[in-house]
Amino acid sequence: MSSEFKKPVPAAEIKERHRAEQVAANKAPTELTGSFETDLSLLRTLFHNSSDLVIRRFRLPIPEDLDVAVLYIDGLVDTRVVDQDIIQSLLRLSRIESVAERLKPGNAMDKIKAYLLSAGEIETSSAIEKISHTILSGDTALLIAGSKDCIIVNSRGFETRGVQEPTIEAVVRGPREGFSENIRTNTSLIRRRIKDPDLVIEAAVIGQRSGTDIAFVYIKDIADPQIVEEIKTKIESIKIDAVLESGYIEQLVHDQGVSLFPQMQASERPDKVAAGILEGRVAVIVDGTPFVLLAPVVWVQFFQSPEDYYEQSQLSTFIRLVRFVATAFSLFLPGVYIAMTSFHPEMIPTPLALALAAARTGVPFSLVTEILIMEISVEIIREASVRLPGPIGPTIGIVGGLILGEASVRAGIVSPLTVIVVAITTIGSFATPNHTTAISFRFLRFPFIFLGASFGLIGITTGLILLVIHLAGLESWGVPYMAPYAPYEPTGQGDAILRREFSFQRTRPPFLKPQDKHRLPRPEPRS
Amino acid sequence: MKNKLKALKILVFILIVVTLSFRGWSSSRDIEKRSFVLTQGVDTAPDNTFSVTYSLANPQALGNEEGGGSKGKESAIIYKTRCRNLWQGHHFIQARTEHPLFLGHVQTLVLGEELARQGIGRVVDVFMRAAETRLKTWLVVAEGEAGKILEVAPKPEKLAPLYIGRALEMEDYLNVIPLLRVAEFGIRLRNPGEHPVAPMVKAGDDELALTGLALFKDDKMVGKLNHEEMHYFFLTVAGKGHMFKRVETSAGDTFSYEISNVKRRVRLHRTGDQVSFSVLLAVEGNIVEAVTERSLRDMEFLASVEQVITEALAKDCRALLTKIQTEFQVDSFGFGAMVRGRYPKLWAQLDWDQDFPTVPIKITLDATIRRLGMVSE
Amino acid sequence: MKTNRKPVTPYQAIAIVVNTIISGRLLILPRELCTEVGNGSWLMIVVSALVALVIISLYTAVGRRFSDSSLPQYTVKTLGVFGGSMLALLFGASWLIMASLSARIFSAVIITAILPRVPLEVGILVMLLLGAHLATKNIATIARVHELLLPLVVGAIFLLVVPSLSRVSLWRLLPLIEPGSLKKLGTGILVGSSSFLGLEIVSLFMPCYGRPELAGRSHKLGILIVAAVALLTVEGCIGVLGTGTLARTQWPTLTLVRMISFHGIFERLEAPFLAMYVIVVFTTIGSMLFGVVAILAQLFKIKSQAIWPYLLVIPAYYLAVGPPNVIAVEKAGQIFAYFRLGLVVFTPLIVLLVAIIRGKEDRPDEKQAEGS
Repeated sequence: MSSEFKKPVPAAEIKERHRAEQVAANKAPTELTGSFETDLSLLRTLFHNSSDLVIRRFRLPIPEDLDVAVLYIDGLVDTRVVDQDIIQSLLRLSRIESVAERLKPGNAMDKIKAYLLSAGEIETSSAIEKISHTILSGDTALLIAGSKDCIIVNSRGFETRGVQEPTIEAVVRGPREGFSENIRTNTSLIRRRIKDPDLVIEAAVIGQRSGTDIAFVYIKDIADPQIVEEIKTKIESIKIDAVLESGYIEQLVHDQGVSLFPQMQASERPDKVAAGILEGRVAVIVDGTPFVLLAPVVWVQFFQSPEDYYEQSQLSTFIRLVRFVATAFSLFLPGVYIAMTSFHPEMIPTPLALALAAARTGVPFSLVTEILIMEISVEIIREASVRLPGPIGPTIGIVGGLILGEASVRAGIVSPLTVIVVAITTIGSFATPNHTTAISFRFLRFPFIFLGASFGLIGITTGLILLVIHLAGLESWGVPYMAPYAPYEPTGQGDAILRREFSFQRTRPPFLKPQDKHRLPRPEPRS
Repeated sequence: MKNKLKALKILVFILIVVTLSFRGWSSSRDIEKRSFVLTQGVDTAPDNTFSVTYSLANPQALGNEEGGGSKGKESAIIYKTRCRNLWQGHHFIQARTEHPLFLGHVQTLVLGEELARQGIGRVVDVFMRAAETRLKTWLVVAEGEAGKILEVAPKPEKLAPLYIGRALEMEDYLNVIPLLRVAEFGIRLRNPGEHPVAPMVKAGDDELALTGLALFKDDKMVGKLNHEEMHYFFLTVAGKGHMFKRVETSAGDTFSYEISNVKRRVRLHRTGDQVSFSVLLAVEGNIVEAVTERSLRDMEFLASVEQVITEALAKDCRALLTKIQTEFQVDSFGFGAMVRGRYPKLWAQLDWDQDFPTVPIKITLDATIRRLGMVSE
Repeated sequence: MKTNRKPVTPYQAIAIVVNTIISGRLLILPRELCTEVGNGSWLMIVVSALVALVIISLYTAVGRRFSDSSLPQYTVKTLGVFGGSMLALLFGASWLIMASLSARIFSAVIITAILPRVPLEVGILVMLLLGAHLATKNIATIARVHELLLPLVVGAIFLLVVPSLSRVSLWRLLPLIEPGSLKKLGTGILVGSSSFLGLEIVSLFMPCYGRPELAGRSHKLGILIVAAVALLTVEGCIGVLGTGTLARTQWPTLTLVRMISFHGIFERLEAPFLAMYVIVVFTTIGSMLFGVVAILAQLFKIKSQAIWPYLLVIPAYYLAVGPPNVIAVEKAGQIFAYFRLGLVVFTPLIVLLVAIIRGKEDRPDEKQAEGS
């Protein structure tokens, strides 16, 4: 019954069709021919003689001089692998007599693979598209005269950032490792946390031009196969030229119309993702970004931080409640403040009401204008301090905030309480562990300001109702967004806003429909 | 097609929201653009008119305190007018102020004694009917003119109009009298078998004092209790009444007794169509002053002192009861409500206002001494 | 994405019953009962709750028998196309009127109490639009909205009524039954029972229950929660205000709230109370309008309901602004409630009777055929 949206893919589809037509018209070969020189020129033209394509030709004595060429992209490969494990080993080993004898008869390709190549991960292929993709990913292609196939050696070794501390999702207690841009590093970070053969890492490539590697990570006997299947088909069917960050995927799979609330959770913390996978979620790792996606998500997840599980449950529950209150403040406070002072001043204790009135006398603007001026200035300061170069960013933020606030009060443009309200609102919005949701809530407070200024508290409730209707209608891969509250699931309550002791969280979240329901074994019956 | 419909829907939605918002917007009023009425005083005036006094807060005088130089400014401004009804007076005063008058913060409603004796049903009705006014407003009766009360600026309070409320709250804290607000007055006014009461306030030169209690029969004030009688009244009616009683024994020793706790029980008896009440008061307290040669550690002596205290208190209570029953003839105790609750059929036959003065009410009081303070004898 | 055809959980069923029944009526119910039977109002609530339990059991029984049909479908199945459709339309009309009356009454409260300068029409429109917006959603969403708002509906009333209970005077609660009031028992029960109206909405949700075997339990629990809330409110009002004052208080529940304060932070709570009450009234109006939408959609086989439910606001609005004043609205509401009570009681009886005589019911194989 819900209205469905057409996905914004037609443009990409048309483009792909167009490209396929072109290829057909040019009659470009899709396979290697087997002729050494033709193949070499074929590959060279494929890359348009690109300057970073290195072609190194040499000859091996199998049985006589055999033309061999190594192709790779400079900068993407680990030159040590190319030099030692490919070129050196081919040239050296072929000259050792005992080896050379065995090389004489038979297929050169098999011999090379069997005796000469010391590199670890190799495969063979003759499909040009496959070869070009692997070369572009940092592999080295070994072209051998007289063979239709080409050996692909894994030599990826481009410069990447190492494992560093995550910047956005900082925790007090917990591992300091964050994901990096390299997909392999990222899978290894997860694998190291879950040493379970049932942890499945499935690879896929999306983006017609970017050819971005992605990986679906889940635990085979926990994750609901239907959800896994749905996530895989949906993401693999994305048609777009390039995927430069996981945010592309997050937005392209959004199938519920307009919503400010993410359908997937992005995280740069391996422990968080591992915990998600263990609960029965699917992680989507995208090469080139440290932000790994988790799906399906529910709303309460955005108030949870991995350190909740590392601290005492009572403390974590308290901290979660604090986050919840902080978020409520960031969403409602300015609106409620306007509503109370402009519509319901009878609510405020008399001395405070008089103090407010006294503070506001002389302020030339109406309260709404005043609040909007301050809110927008704070947003500007916040955005600017992100853009400012590293060390001075926070300084400028503090200086800007303090000086602007103080000066505007002195100048009589705003009243002191407005500054307090705006400050609490802004600080409150940073207590949300999830960056995307924090922005959503910050954005949503503007409608609440307008509603509060129009109908007082009645307007605030109206906005709240609309928000609840919207949230109740959302689903993330079939999982209701407001689970475990709507639909209410008693077993899911142990880890929602509350975090109970582990002994109360024996089961995995029921709304994820995990196959293996139990996290902890059932307690032994007391004898 | 579907997208277009959706767009249309959103557009219409926004349009409606904006239109409605603007209607709402116009009804908002920033807090500094209201004149806060903090106290309302109502008196009778000649020619069947009222004299209405408003005390408005002057926020500037409060806000600029630290800036200095504004000490001369009054924290409250008094407006006075004569009118045929209260709302007319409101409009007369409105015409003299800068911002719309706001009744949401009225702390105290002061009624002149003369008005109270004539009947305050109209005033209370206006107050209960209006939505802006607060039901937690204190209702007090002024000894003399209500307008005078508003003009007094008690020294300790920065904002004079808040003084009466603070003082009454303090009395509740000290367990002297319960909280008596306009809601309680209005509710009692209309319920069968109950009659309202209101504290009385007297204006001095620059101080206000709680002087007693006004007893109402329906909406008309019929009697006045002085400060001591008020204590006994709340002792009997609500088990409250923190007070000191000085007694003298036959041997000439004097003691001061502080009531700390009262347990109250009322029994209703019925014989035929005749009802009677017995009030049991178990009073606990401490000796706070003793002028005697004998030691209070002597149990017999202690018992005799208790006896003296009991008799003294009981005598005062009975005197108060007689005064209310015979002189004022009003059931301020709410005994009628008990008859109604217990014997509804009998209640329907009774004319309680007529019957109350002759109903036998027996007060049994028992005072015990709990502690002697920091001195052991 | 596949959609669950039976998404409504037992918890949601409770929430639907409670949220739909509790409405703006609760603001005036203590006075209505008090003017009829005085101190005996609690008895009326208890008896009415029993009556409501019987009525909802009828709906549960019909719903269980026609496990795959909602109200318009089973009236058509039992009473024929014309009779059934007419009856269903009558329900739709009554819900539409109910929605507009609720909007009108509540707007009047808001405008009197906290937003004196906002036009009445704006309040009505806001409430109706909110309700219509809910009605455009699918059943799963609506059920979830009810579930999420249930704590706010019940919690708001409890939170704001319970503190005032400390002011309850025992002697105002007595006598438990006033002499002579038993003569008015009939009207008292009628008034009380009509305050439980709205329970018939379960007839639309029942075919979507995930566990229909628990329907009876959920429904009864819902009624009991409503009864507890109503009892608490009515007794609170009598105990604090006394029958004499209560009988002349326009919105006693609101007056009760006006007397309490949240020390040091909020001096008066009527604005937050009414703000929370928006949710109470919204859930009722939303359910009612959803009922109208569901009946029209099923009778005329309309598939999409993304836009047209908003059009229902137009007739509802004109119905709401019709009556000249609060008294007329209440009088009309009372008469209308009696009519509705008749409709609500007799429809399931007739349907059940005809179904048993003609042996009609939804069989499992039929269900599968429809499901494919």
